[in-house]
Amino acid sequence: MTDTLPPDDDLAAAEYALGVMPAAERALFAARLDLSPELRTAVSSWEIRLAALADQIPEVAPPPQVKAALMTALFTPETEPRAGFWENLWLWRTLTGVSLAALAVMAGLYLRAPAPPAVPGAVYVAELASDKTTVRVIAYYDAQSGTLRLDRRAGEPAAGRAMELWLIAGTDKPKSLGLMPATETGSVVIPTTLRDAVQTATLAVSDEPAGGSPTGQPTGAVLAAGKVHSL
Amino acid sequence: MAESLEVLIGRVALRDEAAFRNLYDRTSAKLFGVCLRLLRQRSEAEDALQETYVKVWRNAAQFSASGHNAMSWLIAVARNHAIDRLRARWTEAAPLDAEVEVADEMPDPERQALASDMGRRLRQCLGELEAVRAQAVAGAYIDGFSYQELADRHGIPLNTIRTWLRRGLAKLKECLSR
Repeated sequence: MTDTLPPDDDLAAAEYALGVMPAAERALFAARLDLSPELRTAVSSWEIRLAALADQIPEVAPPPQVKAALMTALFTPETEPRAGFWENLWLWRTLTGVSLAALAVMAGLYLRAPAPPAVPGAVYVAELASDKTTVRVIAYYDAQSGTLRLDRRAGEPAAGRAMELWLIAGTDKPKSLGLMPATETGSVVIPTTLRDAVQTATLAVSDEPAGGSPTGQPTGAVLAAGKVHSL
Repeated sequence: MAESLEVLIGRVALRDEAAFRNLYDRTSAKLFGVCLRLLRQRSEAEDALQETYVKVWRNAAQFSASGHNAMSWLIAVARNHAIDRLRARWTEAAPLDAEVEVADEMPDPERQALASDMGRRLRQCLGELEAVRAQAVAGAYIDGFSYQELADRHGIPLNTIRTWLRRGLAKLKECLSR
């Protein structure tokens, strides 16, 4: 079943399934899960082994408005997005500041975590979030390959709209990195001319017409943003 | 006759809204219980429940290859999401809602999982572990305790608790595979 995996990986799968890992280590393990079907099988096997523990947790009927909100969120096309957000610089700073603080804590946790999984080359991470939306994306940048791996943890484009990913270096205008993958996880290769800038840049996701911004610059609301941080 | 939950998830994977509503009606009380127990805050548990079902809608196609039965898969989606939220509480622990009862003691593994056959075997194998290790496994699963919280509760240094719990998990796996 899962015995083809190294024992350490199987135990890491158990720790992930149980949920005991600190946040940063958990995020890194989740990124490994995206790439490894064997690891996913190991996690599933542990989830199945432990599932009977949930028998002890009593059922609690959720309030009806949760169902109403869920069905509306999933099955009602959303109307026009808020505009003019990009001009609102202070909000920008708030967003990136919050994410930076979160990542500073995350980096601290990571350093204290025992035996982090081996990651080849320099790795950078950004957590894109906003307190105005539910969109949350974790981005991992592998400097060696120039690949930015995207893990969309929450939020999806409004019906008929697209999410576009932007790189903002210093005071430069945002540069498009293309549309966010339609799937929850995916990756984009950063153009060689932008690679040096990634490590200190801010990443942002904006709401755009299907097919992406027609102007080459963001036209819709910032759905999430976060500063790139080295791990 | 009501369709099995497995069939419903299969239909959800084919974007069947009616099947999704039916699945929600039949499983949300269990998943809300799980979210509430882990997050200990009603409003956050409600958010987590909604996000969990968004994931269920989006990822239903992954269910059939996972080896899970319907309920264990749904519980895993809910737990993973709630644990992500729990671990993302960077700065301060959220205050607990008075209305949500929080276990002061570790859950009693002896009382666990009597219902199913899987449950019986799990209980038996937890029983073969040292009592404190079995409690740590149950506490992590049911109440979402992190390594840090387990270390505090059991009075074991953080750098020891991991080796200690991993040994317990390896033994548990060995017992369950017998």
